[in-house]
Amino acid sequence: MHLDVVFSSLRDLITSPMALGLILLAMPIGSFFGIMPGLGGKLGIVLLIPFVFGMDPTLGAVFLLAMHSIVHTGGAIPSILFGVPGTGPDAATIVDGYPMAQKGEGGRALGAMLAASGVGGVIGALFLALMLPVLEPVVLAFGPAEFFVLAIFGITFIATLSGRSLIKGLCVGLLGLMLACVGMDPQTGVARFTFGQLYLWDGVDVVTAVLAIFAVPEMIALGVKGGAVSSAQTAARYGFRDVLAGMVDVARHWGLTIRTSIIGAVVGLIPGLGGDVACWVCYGHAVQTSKTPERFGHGAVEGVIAPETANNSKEGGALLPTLFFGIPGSSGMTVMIGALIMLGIQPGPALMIENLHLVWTLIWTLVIANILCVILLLACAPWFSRLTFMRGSLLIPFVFLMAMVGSYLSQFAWENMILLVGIGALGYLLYKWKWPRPPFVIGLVLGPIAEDSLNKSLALWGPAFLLRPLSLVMIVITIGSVAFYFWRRRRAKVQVAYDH
Amino acid sequence: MWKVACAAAIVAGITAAPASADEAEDFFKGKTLTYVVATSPGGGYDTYGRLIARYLEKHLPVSKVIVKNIPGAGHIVGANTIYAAEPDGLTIGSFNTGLVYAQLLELDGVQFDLHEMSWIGKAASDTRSLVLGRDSGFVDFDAFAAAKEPVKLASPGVGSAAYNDTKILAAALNLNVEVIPGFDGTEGEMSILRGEVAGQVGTTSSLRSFVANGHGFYALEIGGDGSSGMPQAAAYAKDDNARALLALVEAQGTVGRLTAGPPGIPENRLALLRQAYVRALADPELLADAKKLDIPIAPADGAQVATLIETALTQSPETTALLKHIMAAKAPTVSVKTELLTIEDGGKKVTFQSGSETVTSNVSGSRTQVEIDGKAAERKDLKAGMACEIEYESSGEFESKIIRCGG
Repeated sequence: MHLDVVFSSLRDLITSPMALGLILLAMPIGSFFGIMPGLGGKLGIVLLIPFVFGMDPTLGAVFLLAMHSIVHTGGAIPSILFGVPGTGPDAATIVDGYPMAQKGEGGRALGAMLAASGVGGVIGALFLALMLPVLEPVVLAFGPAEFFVLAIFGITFIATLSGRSLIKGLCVGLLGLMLACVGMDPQTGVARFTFGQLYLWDGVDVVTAVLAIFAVPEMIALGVKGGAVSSAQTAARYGFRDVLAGMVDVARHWGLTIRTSIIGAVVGLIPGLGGDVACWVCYGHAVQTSKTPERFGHGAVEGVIAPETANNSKEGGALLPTLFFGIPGSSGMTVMIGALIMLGIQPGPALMIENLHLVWTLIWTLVIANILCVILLLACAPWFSRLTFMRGSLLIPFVFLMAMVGSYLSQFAWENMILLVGIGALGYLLYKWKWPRPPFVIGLVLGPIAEDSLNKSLALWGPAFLLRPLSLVMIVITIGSVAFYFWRRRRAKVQVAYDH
Repeated sequence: MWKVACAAAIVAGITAAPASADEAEDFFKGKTLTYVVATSPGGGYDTYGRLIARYLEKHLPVSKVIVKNIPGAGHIVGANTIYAAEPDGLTIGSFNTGLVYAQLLELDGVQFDLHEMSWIGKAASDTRSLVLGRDSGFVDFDAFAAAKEPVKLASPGVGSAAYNDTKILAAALNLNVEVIPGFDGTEGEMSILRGEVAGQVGTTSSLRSFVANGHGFYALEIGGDGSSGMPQAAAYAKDDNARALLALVEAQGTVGRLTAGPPGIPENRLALLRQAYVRALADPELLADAKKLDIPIAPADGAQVATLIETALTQSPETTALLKHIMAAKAPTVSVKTELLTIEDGGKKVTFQSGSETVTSNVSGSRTQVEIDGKAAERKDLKAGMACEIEYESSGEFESKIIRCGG
């Protein structure tokens, strides 16, 4: 790799007012698509395509990428403040971010989220740069067998996210898995659990389910409880200091931050896993590696840092197979490829050889966009967080409306509203009786991946697929992770017994 | 009184006479046309849809053409919506031609009838081709067709158009393939790169970058005018059934990116829409845009599309039965009238002569229907030497479905 292209591309980017202007313009646009629940970066690219049409290829690509890469930074804002996920991958941030807001620590959560997103995005870009030479063998190493074991690994996280009761967590997780079976089975062409409804052929919409299981119960609970999101009395002494405290948290947990950034980037690298997986896996990792896991779910700042770094770093990872194989690393990248081709950029191995300058320009775009977004949102963060002190009676209808719009826009299907109400009711019951809710999302998201990969693996290799080297490694990791979890619980019980 | 009624009837008759082209123009003036795309935003159908919508707006007297995405159930929801829309000419849209299969196979959920749709035109031809991986071990189609072991091919989910194309091609040309479904989008290409499968069947254009990057080659093309230089599937078809099946796949390749409206659009408005469509697709600006988007344009007007679709939908009962046969997840069965040669294991296995082969068939206690002398019986009642009519699966364990013996 020629080092001069690395710096010449940065220099060209910084000295081009057009490019910088476009990145700056992309900030509020991307934040908007992130903050409005259910919209997401994919829709953003689709809507921007007509405007980008005819632009200089490099500028167009820079603009779209800048917009897309910071969507999840904005998306975490409603997650933290209202418990409403801005995008699917931002749901993991709700689990600890929202309780923090409820305790009056909304500013701190936002600060942690912003710093984490920024760091994650930059590390993701770095990852992209470092992986360039070894990309092909890494991406090709992951096939259906590995996906299956990865999905199982993810599902075992149900245990870690169950809070105090493993049984309850498993029940909820299996419920999610059951719901994941709804739809047209790609292996047999049979419509399962669709009750004759064409709408259910594509399965339960994940965006709707996530909104329903997290946002709806919180809003109902808020209405029942009365008052504002934050029950803390002191609205006064509030603002920039809290946000800064959150950022310091990220520095304090630097090990976790770096680890989850890398995990997120790796998950983004593997085509087919998707953004939802990255954030939950990293959240679970944070729980597992914490010395005090019982704090999670009640406002542990690591529960905000971990998924947020992953959300942004996965963008860097996802860009790799997109640019070099023309194979999208995520659903957002699918549209990105179309946009790139429309701009005249042909993704493929030839890009490395013919246009390394463009590749590095995009890497630098990721870095600059993430840093810039953090700075801009930082300035607004104290105002955002004051919303948590707003009266519930003002907030709830607004949030419900956002949830409904997001749910509808996800599939342009009005039936999603009914689903929102139905799953929302379920979510409220879970909330009322203190059953954990994250396992539901995990089951729903990972179920199809697990089943599909299992079917393909059996068709391709028979049961021997489990003996493939990478699969074996991951099976060992999975067993180790589960064993570690049980060991920790036993130790905690022993500790409690000892303390008595 | 009578005269007034007569006069009124005449006046009514005149005003009810077929409306003219001007009426159509007037009708569309100032109105909004909705162009339905049966997929979510982004992707081939959406790109074509938005491009065509933009230029239809230019060539129609409407004030606006808006694109509406109605995804779901593999284009079926969108097609249903277009079919059920008000037939005033203000709602038209696009869906996958592969829905021809859905109608032929009488799939659940299909609420449209392609015979009745008002066809406005089509924008592209996209033949189907078989692409084999560079490292698949096959250098050309002949080597592939001659393979002794079943060759694995990737395909999207069962029921998708590409899956159907793959199965039909395999059946038509008697190829020894094992289709692995579930590879949506570009997952199939990744699978080829990983060496899990040898190749896949898909639209020629969607596989172009894969081939251009040197990962694979076009082994066979189904349809097209031969200008691509690829080996043609038709050359390998050995009988009429095969030719009929290939013709079905070819027809779909010819009618790519179609635009249609609900049945019953008034003649004059349909004519105006068709005319505007043809003009839009001949517009040099559209062609320039299409070039930039790197999407091919090969238009045909509504009348031609209607003919092509009718041909595709008109399949002999034989071919339709064959199609259902091919699409069924179960193995095709063979029926034979023969004598039972040997019985093993208390009736669990029977051997008999089927044509020139000796077949050993599994008899299931639960799945196989056994009848002796017209009465239901158990497999342990079967005896060597019985003259029976047997229907059994033609592969795997050769499990018998029905064994009817006459003592």
